[in-house]
Amino acid sequence: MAAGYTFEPRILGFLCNWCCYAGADLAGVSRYQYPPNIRVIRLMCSGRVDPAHIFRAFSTGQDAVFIGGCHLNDCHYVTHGNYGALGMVYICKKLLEHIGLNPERLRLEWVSAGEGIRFANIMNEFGPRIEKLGPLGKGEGIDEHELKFKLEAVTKLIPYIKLVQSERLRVSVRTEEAYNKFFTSEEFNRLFNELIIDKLALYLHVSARNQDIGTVVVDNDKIDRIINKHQGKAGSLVQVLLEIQHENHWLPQDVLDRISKKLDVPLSRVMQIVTFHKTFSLIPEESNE
Amino acid sequence: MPVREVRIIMGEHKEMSEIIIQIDGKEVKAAEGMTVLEAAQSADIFIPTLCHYEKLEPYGVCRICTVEAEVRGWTKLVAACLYPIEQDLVVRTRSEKVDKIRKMILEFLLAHAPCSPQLQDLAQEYGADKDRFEKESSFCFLCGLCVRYCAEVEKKNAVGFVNCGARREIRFILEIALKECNSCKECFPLCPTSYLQAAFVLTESLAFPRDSSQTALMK
Amino acid sequence: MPRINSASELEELRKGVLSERDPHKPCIAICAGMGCLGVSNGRVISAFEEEVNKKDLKTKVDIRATGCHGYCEKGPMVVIYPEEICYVEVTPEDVPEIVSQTVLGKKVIDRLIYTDPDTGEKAAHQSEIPFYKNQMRHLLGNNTKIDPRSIDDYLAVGGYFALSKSLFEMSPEEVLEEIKKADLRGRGGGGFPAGRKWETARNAPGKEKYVIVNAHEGELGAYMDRAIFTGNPHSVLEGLIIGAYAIGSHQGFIYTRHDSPQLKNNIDIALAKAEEYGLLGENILGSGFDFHVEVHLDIGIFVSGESSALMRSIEGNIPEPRPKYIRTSVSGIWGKPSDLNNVETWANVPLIINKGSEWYTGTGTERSKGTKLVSLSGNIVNTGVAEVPFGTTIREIVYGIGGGIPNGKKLKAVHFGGPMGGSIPESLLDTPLDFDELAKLGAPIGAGSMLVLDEDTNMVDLARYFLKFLSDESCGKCVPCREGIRQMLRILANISGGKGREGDIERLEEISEVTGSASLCALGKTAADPLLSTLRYFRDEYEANIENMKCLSEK
Repeated sequence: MAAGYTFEPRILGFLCNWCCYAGADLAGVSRYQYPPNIRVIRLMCSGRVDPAHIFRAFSTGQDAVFIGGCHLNDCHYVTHGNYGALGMVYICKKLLEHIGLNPERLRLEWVSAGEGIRFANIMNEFGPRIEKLGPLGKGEGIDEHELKFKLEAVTKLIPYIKLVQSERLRVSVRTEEAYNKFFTSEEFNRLFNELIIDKLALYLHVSARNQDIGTVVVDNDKIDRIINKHQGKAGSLVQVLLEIQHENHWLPQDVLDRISKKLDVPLSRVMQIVTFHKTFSLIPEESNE
Repeated sequence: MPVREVRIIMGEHKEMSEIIIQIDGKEVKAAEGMTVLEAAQSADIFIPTLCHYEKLEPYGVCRICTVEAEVRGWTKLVAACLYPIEQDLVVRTRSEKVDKIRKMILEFLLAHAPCSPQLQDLAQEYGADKDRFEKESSFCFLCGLCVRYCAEVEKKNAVGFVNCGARREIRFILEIALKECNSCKECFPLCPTSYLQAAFVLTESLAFPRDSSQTALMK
Repeated sequence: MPRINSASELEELRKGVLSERDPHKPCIAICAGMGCLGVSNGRVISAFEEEVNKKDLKTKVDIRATGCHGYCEKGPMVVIYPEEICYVEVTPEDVPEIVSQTVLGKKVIDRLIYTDPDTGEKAAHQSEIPFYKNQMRHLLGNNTKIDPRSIDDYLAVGGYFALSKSLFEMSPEEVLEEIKKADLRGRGGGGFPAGRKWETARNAPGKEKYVIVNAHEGELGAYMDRAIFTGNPHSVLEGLIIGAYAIGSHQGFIYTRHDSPQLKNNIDIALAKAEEYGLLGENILGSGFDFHVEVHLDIGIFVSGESSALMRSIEGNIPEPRPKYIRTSVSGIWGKPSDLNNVETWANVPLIINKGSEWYTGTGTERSKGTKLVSLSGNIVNTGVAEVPFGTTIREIVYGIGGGIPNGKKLKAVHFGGPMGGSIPESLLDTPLDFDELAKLGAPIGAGSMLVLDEDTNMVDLARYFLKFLSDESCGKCVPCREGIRQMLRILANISGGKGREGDIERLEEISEVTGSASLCALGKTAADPLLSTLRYFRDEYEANIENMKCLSEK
């Protein structure tokens, strides 16, 4: 560390009103000391915490996020929101890990209203731990811009991730054991990778590529000539695509739009044909002809 | 080509007459040109379907409506939603073979979407085990209801199929979806899993703005 | 070239062409088929041209780049007419010697002629080489005499006589009757009687009808369609026009691969020449019959060889099959009656019209008449395309024509029909080549590709290979095919990786039953056939794999 500068970690805490917040309050009243870096937001239930909140926290400069709720099976709501928080945190930790951040920056604890000293102990352990990890990103050695980009990407995918989680990554039995078993299983890993990581990678790749390609110059006359050669018939869609692929070696999106308009076929049909077989290439690479 | 159009062509040369067929031992009168499924529904006989919807042309891909059809001594297994009825046709909607097929199709699909209500109802009836096959990540089973609805009813073609074989999936066409879907979304309730919604929000999120304002794309 | 306007004008032209050809003039016929092109016979051809020029023999010697000779193993092949001396594996360096010794000196060069690898016997003439001797080359025989880009070559061997006979001496019904009497069965894999299909299309309601040549040939290991279509495109075209006349169609389609430029080129040239001579287009040969042909290319996927998928593709759609409850010969392209036949089937038509159905039915078995092109590949000494009459036993083909198994290995099985077919074990090798006989054994003849497998072949891997191919090439529309293949592949991967579990074979059989009965199209229905046939004859290999796993886990 540079001389004269001490890193003060910024920790954001989401505490549930009934248990954890009361517990924190008790710690304060009982004068149990703990580091002052945690800023607390009070929610009615830990289950209310959304991945969007977590990633917004990280995106706006927090170094760690803490979620505190009632003990499992003690949730004050019939919906057992704390199980929801548990599942959500497993997924968020994996996401953090994937973008290169230390998953320990996100922590979930069950603290009851009477466990003031426990709350203080947790904070006394968590604060220094984050201090040791260093500032977000810098501590893991990630470039600032890259981190911002990746956090943005994850944030954009959150609506999709939530739908996927509720349909595919849920546990039917509400016990701690079942949840732990599922979220540490091979099956979960595989499903998570295929459903979420692949899409995230695709997103990152697409946006990186868009920056590389920039604007594509398309020779409209050449395209029109080929279309007219086949008398602009809707039935010759496949022949037109084959010829353009042969001449140009790839099919830019603008060309597909033009073909769709000129031959009066829906763009979805054009997309279906060009993705149907590896004969066609949607990226400017050498095709295997 | 759609079954109905063929009926019209054939109708030009024959009179549309009434045909008597047998379904599960019951005599059913139906109009020429109907499919087995339509005939069964008119007689209140239930045949399960997954990819069928009255407002759309029958697609015949889920194959769960497979029934035994016997004509002139030959029995074959056909998709009820597509097979046109003919005189003296004998149909059996349940049999050992048919049940076996339906059970396995359900098990294939449950590996993708175990939480789908339509699948769960049928799974009970046919004794399908949702853990028979390894879990698949994609929870779309390509019934095509969304694609066909958008193509045939809305005529917007905002969502279509891409890729082939085991990699086949639905995908929204970004430009059309951003323009049309938010004011429509009529296909959403048709989806038996919730993959359609997931695909839609994914599409929205993948709308990578060249500048960081979303409004640039909404023109 | 003014268009020919009558049958007599055609015969006049033919006489003219023949009179210009001296049967005693030396002719160097170099195979320019796909196989030989691959071993740079292009250089051999140019070497001959150069040598002939150098020796100032251009008017005295003909050079002809012909269609596929069939004996792909021994390419580049050269046949010197009129003696019919056949040289194998010719290099450009051999060319000067061939020209001086054989073409001019009429002497045979010993080192270049065929030598039998077992007996050491030499054969100077093509008809003496065992590969050719045991064949019956009705369709392929002309390949060595024709340059596919020349219509005159085809006329010189009697081409288009069948067409003029049909148009002027027979009514469409009579042509149809003749094909029905000949019992011509589809050569593309279905084996369906072509005459019956033609009749259904003819009788289907509607005035607009279509005829289609299926030149897709997606079956793995099949390359005989290419041999005949690239080598003698006019024979197929003639058959197509005759068929169109019989059915009453005025528009034809040729559906071929997008990745065979030589084939497409030869087809385009053939169509242009036929049109120029008045054998295609408006008022063919002055008979009043119009017929036009369009060429369509595929997008490269196997499923587009399926007839209903093919028709979707011609319409400009994705090649997705649809259930054939209503036959494509009644409702095909754009809902119009469409008759689709394979290249080889069409090539048989002029033969039947020329020689008559009685002659034709003299060859073959009870229910499979005529000859069949087979393409030999795999663990076999002589690869290539051969033509044999139906009824020839598989043993005769593998040993008599194929030359047996190389490296002294034993034969294990012969696989027919590619990814939708099955394997015949060594014990059943005396089965005659016949549609029904082979189908009974679970190995339908398919398009005629014969994959010969030796004792080192792992049959489980073979089944897995074919299933993986289908998984990539299936359209993915219906559940039983898409999901069934996916699950069967998983189990097979486990078995061949040594992770097979008890009950896996039963699981495979259960899934294949559903896939086979509930799938939408033939691809799904026959996807599990290679697997089932290997299970039928080589079940022990599967069990051995699973046993190993069981022993390991019990330890």
